[in-house]
Amino acid sequence: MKKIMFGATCVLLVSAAASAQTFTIPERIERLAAKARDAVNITLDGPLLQLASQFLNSSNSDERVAKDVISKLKSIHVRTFEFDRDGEYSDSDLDAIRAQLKGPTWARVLESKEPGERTQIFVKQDRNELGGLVILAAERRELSIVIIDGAIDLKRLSALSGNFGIPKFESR
Amino acid sequence: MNPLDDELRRALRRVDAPEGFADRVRARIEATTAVARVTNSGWVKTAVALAATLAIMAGGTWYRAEEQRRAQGEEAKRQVLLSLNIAGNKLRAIEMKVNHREDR
Repeated sequence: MKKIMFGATCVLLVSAAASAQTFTIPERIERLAAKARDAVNITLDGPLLQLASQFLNSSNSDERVAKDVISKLKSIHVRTFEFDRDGEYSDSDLDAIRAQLKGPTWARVLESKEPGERTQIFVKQDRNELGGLVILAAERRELSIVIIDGAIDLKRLSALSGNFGIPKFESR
Repeated sequence: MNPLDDELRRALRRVDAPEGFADRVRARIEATTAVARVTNSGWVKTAVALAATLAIMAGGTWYRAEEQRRAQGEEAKRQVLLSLNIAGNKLRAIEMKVNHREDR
């Protein structure tokens, strides 16, 4: 009986730790901004997402979809860097992020390697729905990291691209 | 004498004031002066000025906080839209790349 109780406690602790996971962007990634020609640095946690939601206009169809998408999110981290030269970062710079995706709930669903390019997509399984998404896209002169924590619909997210009157983000 | 003179004389004839009229007038003047003394005293003026200053300061603080919240909200909204835009574009680009590779 004691063994069963201990096992159940362990399972509860592990699942609680997994659901309470917060991502940290390694310092060596943050330092890449100094070398980059162009960089985007966005970190939005729960309170900021709630605040943004209040300013998204429900009468605008695009913003309504965005509002709906972020309503179930816990946090968003985006880092993109564009460099003038090759070799400004190394693939190992991303290891600290990959290490945070080794829990039982995270699974790598895509791995694509070509000369000078590596793309990985990880998803978090939260009960029977997608509980998070991480995109690591590394090219010779471009590095993109997208971490979305929370329930997300990939089809809706994909359909959102190029909307909102935002200049389209160039991704090769 | 014409009738108008008679009428004027009747209207302007001397009439004695009712008894105690002068005392009542003096009492009322005194009471009014006392109220004026209170409202014109220094501490009331200071209190009114202080209350007005506090009200203006509170209004200013609220307005600044509201402006700051609005600016933060607009910036958060911009970042949300940009994040979703980047994520969506990356997903589409990866999808296209994978599909293209499968077609080859």
